[in-house]
Formats: sequence, C-alpha cells, structure tokens
Amino acid sequence: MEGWRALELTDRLDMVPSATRRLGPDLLVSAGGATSPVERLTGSGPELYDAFAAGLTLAEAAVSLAQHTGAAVTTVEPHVLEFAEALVSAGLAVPAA
Amino acid sequence: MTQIDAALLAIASAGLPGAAPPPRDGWHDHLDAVLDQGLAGLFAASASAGMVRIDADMASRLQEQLDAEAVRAVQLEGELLRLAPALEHLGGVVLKGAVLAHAAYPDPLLRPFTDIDLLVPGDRIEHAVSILGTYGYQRARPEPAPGYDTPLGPAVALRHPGGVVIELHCTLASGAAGEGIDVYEIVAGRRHVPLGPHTVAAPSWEAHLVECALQAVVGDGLAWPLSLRDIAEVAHHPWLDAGAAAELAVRWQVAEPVAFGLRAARDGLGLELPDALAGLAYHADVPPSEPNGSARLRRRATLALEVGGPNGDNRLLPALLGHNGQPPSADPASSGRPLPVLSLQPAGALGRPAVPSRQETWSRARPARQRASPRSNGRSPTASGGATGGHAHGNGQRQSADDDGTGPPDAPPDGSPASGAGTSAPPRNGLAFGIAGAALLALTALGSRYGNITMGMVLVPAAGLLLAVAASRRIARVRPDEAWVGRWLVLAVVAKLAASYYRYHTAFNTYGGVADATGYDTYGRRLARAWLNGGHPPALENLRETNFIRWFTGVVYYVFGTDMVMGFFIFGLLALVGSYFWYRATADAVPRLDKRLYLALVLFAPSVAFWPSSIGKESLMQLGIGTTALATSLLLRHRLATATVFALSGGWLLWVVRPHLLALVTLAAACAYVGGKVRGKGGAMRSMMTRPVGLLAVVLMVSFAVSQATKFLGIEELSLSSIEAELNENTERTSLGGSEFEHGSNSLNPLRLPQGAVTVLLRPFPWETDSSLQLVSSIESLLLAGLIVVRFRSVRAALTRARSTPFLLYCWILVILYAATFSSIANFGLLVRQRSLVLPALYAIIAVRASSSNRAPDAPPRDLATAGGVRVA
Repeated sequence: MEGWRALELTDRLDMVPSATRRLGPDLLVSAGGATSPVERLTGSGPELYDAFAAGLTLAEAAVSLAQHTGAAVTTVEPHVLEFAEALVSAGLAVPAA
Repeated sequence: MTQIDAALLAIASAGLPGAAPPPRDGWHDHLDAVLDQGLAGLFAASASAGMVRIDADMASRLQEQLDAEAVRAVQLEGELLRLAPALEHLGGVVLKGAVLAHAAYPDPLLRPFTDIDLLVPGDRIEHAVSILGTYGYQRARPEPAPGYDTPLGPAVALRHPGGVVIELHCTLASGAAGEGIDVYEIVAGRRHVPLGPHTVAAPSWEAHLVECALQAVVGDGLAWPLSLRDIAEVAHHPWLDAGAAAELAVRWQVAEPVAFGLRAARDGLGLELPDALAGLAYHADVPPSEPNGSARLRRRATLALEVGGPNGDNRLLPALLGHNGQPPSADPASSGRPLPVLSLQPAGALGRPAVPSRQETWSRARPARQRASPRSNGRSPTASGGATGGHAHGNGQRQSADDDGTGPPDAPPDGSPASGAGTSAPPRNGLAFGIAGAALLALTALGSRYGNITMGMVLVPAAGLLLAVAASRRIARVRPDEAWVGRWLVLAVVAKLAASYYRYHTAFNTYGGVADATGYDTYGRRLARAWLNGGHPPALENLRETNFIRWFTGVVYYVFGTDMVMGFFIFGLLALVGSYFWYRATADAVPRLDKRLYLALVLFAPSVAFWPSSIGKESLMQLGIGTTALATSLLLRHRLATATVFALSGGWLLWVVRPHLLALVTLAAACAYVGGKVRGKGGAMRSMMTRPVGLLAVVLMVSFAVSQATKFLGIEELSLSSIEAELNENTERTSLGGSEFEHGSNSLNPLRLPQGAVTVLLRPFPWETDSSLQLVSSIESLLLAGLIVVRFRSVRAALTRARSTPFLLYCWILVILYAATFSSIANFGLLVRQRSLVLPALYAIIAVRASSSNRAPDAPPRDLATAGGVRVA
C-alpha cells in the first residue's frame, strides 16, 4: 500500500477526481485518462467506493456493508481495509488528513 | 447498389418515440455488423427489453464488446478531465463522443466512442497542437507542409503514447461544406455539459445538431446508422431550439446537407422531427419538377456522399429517396418508413434476464426525457432551474475540486454560458520581450567594456523585468492552467529588486558596510579591473567556497560593470530563479497543492525575498538548492535525463560553495527515492527499467556528497560523536558577532530534534531580538508559526502522503536534516540567513491541501455480498 502508515478503520479517504462509469454491477474508474490504466471495481467495490467518496470512515463503511450483507462487522472490516489500501495503491484515493 | 442494412436501422431506432420495433429473431447473422457499427449498446438494451432474442453465445460476445467499449469510453472521459484546463484555455469544444453519450443519449452505454474530437478555430490549431504537446500528444503524421492545417483542411490527428487519439478539427465539415461555418460563433456559444460528476465544454445543441447532420451526410456518407441516431437524439433534446438550429444551418450555408441528414434520420429511423426541422427536411423532399427542387439537392447530396462517404459509395441514398428515384411523401407526419421484417429463425434462451415490458424498460432507460431529475443525465430543463437560458447552468453537477485550487484561466466557476464569451486568443510567446531583455544585458556589457560602469544599475533591472515578462508569456503558452504564475513572477522581480536594494541599503547604512558583500565586492573589483585593463588579478588559492563567490563577483563586474548595487540585483535575480525552480519542482510533484499559497510564500515571504538578495553565498545557494529540488522532482517522476542536467548543474554549484548543503539535499533526495512510492509515466515496465539506474545514481551521489561534506567540515571519521563534535565547534565559531545567544550543547538525539527545529525555523522570539531586522524576522516567524497551526491538517496530510508523494518526503527529510545540523548555530543573524534556504521545503509541507470537498451525508445502499475488488480493466 501507499502511505506513511497502514490505514486504520478510523481513516477516511479522499477520492482522486476521476471519470467513472457503471458497467453492470462493476464500476470503471479512470483517474489519469491516457496516462494510467482504467481500474475496474468489482464485488462490493463500487459500494465501498461510493461510501468513501461520501466521506464515511472505513469503519462506517464496514458497518454499512455488514448491514447489507448480513455478515458480522468484524468479518467485513479486514476486507474493507484491504480494499481501501487497494484503492490508495491504485492511485484512486489518498488517505484523508 | 448496396443499401444500409435495414436490420441495423431497426436497432439504431430502438427505443425512439414512434419507431417500429426491431424483428425479434434472426440476429445471429447480423451480430458482427451490429458490433462493428457501434450498435452493441442499443442492441443489448433491446435484448434486455425483450425486443430481440439472443442466445448465450451472442450474449457473451455482446458483453465482451460492451466491456471493451465502456473501458475505452471511461478512459477517454478521464482524459477529458485531465485536459480540461487546456480545453478551457483554448476555448475549444468537444464534439460528439462523450458529449452525446452523456448529455444526449439516455444512457452513455448506448453511444460508444473511440477518440476525442475537439473543435478550435483554425488560427489556434498550431497553438492547440503545442498545448496538447505538453500533455504528451504528438501528431500522428507530420504536417505535410507548413500551413497545411488550414481552416478547411482535414482534422489533425494527435496521438498519446497511452493510446488516446485526439482529432483536432477547425470546422464542422472538411471541404466546401465547412466554408460558411462560423467556428468562432460555435466556441463563443459553448456550454458546459455534464460528464458524470464533471463537465466539459460543448457546442450549443443547435450547433451540435448541424454538426451531427453534416457528419452523417458529409463525414459518414449516410452509411453509418449510429450517426443517424445521433441526429435523432439531438433533434429531440429538450434544450434544443429547433427553429434556431434550422436558422443556423441556413446562415452557415449548409441547409441542404443538413436537410438531407435530417431526412435520412426521419426516414431511416422512423423519427418524427420538430416542426422547424421537419420543414427543413421537407425541402429535401420537394419533387424534381418544382423550382429549386430535389434534383439540385440530390446532386449536392450525392456529391457529398461521393466526397465524404466511406469507400465513396452512397448506400443509403436510394433507400431514402425511394426506389426509382422518387422521393417519399412530402408530408412529414406520414414520412415514417416501415422497417422490413427479417426472416424468423429459431433462437436459444436469452442470456440476459428480460424485464416485464418494453414500455417499462424504456421508461427506465430514458429517465431524463420522461422524468426530469437534477441527477439524471442533465437533459432536463428543470435541472437548470429554467427552461431557457439555463442550459449551461443546468449541468447541475459540481465541478471537481481542482488540485491547485486555481482552476483554468478565465474559466467561470460554474460553467456558465458566459464562458462562451471567454474564448481567449493564443497567448503571445514573449520572444520579443526575451530578445529585448537580452539586448539590454548586451548593452550593459558593451557599456561596461567602454567604461560606463553605472548603466547596469538601470539596465539590469529593466532587463530582469523584460525577461520576466517573456517567461510569463512562455508559461501562459505551455502551461495554460498556470497563466497567473507568470504574472506573479513579474511582481516577484519587482519585489526582489526592491529587496536587493534594501539589503544593500541596510548593509551600508545600518551596519556601516560590515558585511560579507563588501569583501566580495573588493575582490570582484580587483578581478574585473585586471581582466579589463590588464594587470595582476588578486591570487585565489582555488575557486571553492568563498573564493568562488569572489571570482563570480568579478565575473559579474567584468560583464556588467563594477557597480555594487547592480551586483546585488544580479545575485538577487539568480536567487529568484532558484525560488521559481522550487515552485516548479513542488507544483509538478505534489498533486494536491495550494499552488497560489506556495508560490506566494516562495516568492514574497520576507526571509526568502530579503536574505538571498545580495552579493554572497545565500543567493547562489538559493539557486543551487532550487535547481537540485527541481532535479529531485524530475527524478521522482522518472525523468532521468532532464533530472541529470539539473542535478549536475545545481549539485555542482552546491559542491563548489557549500558541500555540506549538497550532502543534505542529496541525502533527502535519496531517502525520497528509496523510501517513496516512485512511479513513472511509462508505468510499471518503465519504472522497473529506470529505477535501478536511479538507485545506482542516488547511491553514487550520496557517497560523493557525504564524503565531500565530511572533508569540508574536517570530519575524519564519520560517526555520531564526530558529527556532534563538529556541531559543537560550529556553535563555538558562531557565538560571535553581536547576535549570539545562549545555545547549550549539541546532540543528534531525535528527542532534541523538535527543539532544534524550533530554533532553526522560528527563533529568535520577539523578546530575544536586539535589532530591527531581527524583530522583523521574529514577527515573520510568529506569522509562520501561526500558519503552521492554522494549517496543521496540511502538515498532517503532508506526513501521511509522504510515501505516496515522495517529493513531500524529500521536503520533510530536508527540513529535519537542516534542523538537526543548523541548530548548532548560536547566532541569530546567521540563523535567519541560513533558514531562508530551507523555508521553501517547509512551505511545501504547509501548502499541501488537506482534504477534498466531495463528501455527502450518506452512502447509497446496495445489496452486494462479496468483498470488493479492484483490478485493471
């Protein structure tokens, strides 16, 4: 992942201005046009992307996702962290200060 | 004679009001054509609505095509986002493609596009090519001859290494059809239409209708069903003034081809046209026997088809004019041509779930047309708050937060219609100012040779201003989003000249000439006199450190005349170049930077403007550190060749004058390069190839710089204790001169670092000052401390982003190293001078933008069960 430290559940993400497009359940995101590849968010990725863009913390996004899926929050949280780190690593988001 | 495939027309018309439904079966043989002609989206929508049946294999191919089209489209939309400042600067508009997909079609998936079409006036083509060149675009083919890109010539194709192609148009149709089109009118009336959460400049819908019709007739030869669909979508756009569109076509002398395009859409797609457009299309239906009838129109249309149609054929024309050459009925209301029915063939099960009814599906698929909503595709007049005049306001979308907070030059904040009037002429290149500035410098040098040693005092500042204006023009041309930077540079030259003069005044009136500059001046005069008049120049043991400044002062005096004030000006202006290099380095390497704040600080902060403005080491070190900062910025972006040039020049200057500064900047750059997330434009492969080379270079540079620094400082063994001993010696050396303060011992213990940082960056405190200059410096430090507190979130952001934005890591390390080493200085006079060299790094940390503003109260709920994934599409 990028960043000086590992992301924590209390963190929020700032989304890099990007072009987005829904493709069925997936979300395509282009943050750099010709200069970087288009990223495809799958699974619950689009929902989490929207949640982060809406300003939710990772923990809040995990709670929201857990409510929708019926899974335990503790089960969902590692996935949310992993996905958030993937977003940062792909240059689609930066940890909010 | 070939005709356009009726099956394709049926798909192209799918979902339009009054259009006949496409045949339900028999599509297997047409699938290739459907995909080739860009109809995959419309076909998939028809299949989803249960209007056509497809099997699993067809569904799979369809999905594959839709995926590819969507990936391509979103990349192009991302590119439009990246190019937004350039497009605003050029005053151009985006044609077709993304604009139609998002603002005309009910769903962008229905309208694929594979390139970006831009329209700019013909006299701005070269400027546009130049501007887009700064974004990485190059001509796909060289211009055959100078001036070939005339206003009526073909579009200029520009290609980006990332695979994006821009077609740069200077009119709506090549050849004679484009002669009467007023492109200035188009760009002056441009509107901002939504592109997802962003906006893009596009022609008015009236102009776009003309463009679509011309494209269908002249560009595509009425052989491309999707171009007819474009006409249909724009013709029924809720914000289109059909009468104005017809009037535009007449005024631009393209009424005939536009009429043929409209009639082709009407007849081919079963489209009902608004009255004014139906009237225009009617003129293409007038029987041959009538005066000015269709014989002439058909001849024109046929000519258009022969000129512009692919393969030169006119496949659709017979179908449109009717067999035997008879035109269809002149009554617009009854002109809908029934679609042929394809033979029915057995088909497998649908690969995609069908929805309950066609009506419901299309109702959902076309929300904007039937249910106005500000969050729809933006086609609803209500989104603008009014049916008229609200077109551009009605994008209803927030602009994305600009990274630098400046936005494009002269761009309105909300994409209002007034933006249309804001088209700017290409900025002049400033060459004349550059030549004039150089001429003044040459005149100064000439005067010096002939004994006039004082004219430099006037001509050098004038030359500095002229060169600043030239740089300003240059910046406006190559970086249109930073046109304001050039204007600030001109002001900065004025400020620097004033600071240099005040520094001179202070040195000789406040301190009675007791200043380093006096010694350099003495040597400089003797050297210049000896070089000009013959004789023995003073012996200099070497050309390092103080001797280099003496020698360089001699060079300045030799060239421009032995005037001390002029010398101050020259040194001050060189320092200003270093400040700009700092800005360039930071602005290019830190994506979320408050550029205006940062430039204001590095140009106008009193310490930076005042201290490095005299004959002395600070000025050249400001230039040297700025140059190495730019080199580091380039290195961190894998621009190795350019980085090397700046690193060698800036590093050499530091090595000659203050080798320990070279060690500091090299260590900081090495930490940033090794510890930061360094990414190159060429992606992973290029990064993989260049990073080892960069690492090797960094290791060599660090070894050299540290060895030189230890040699300069007289440290025989590199260890913590020896460095601390050297720092203690430095404390003792600097505890002289009248501005010394109680210091205590030095330590490299990290716990002492904050104390050292406060000393280096913020002291003296107001109660520690003993002169007016120190008091001013103290007040400035208080303001700086306040700024750090106010922008503490920026400081925190600069820390958390340090690895992902390695130049911030460079700034952090430089500030830390500076604080650790220069805190040994026990003299406030020296401290405030030395501090000015590292302040640009601290300013970069302060100027980082803390967060974006794209927050909304709630995340939209959806029912997804799996963990999210992200992958390259």
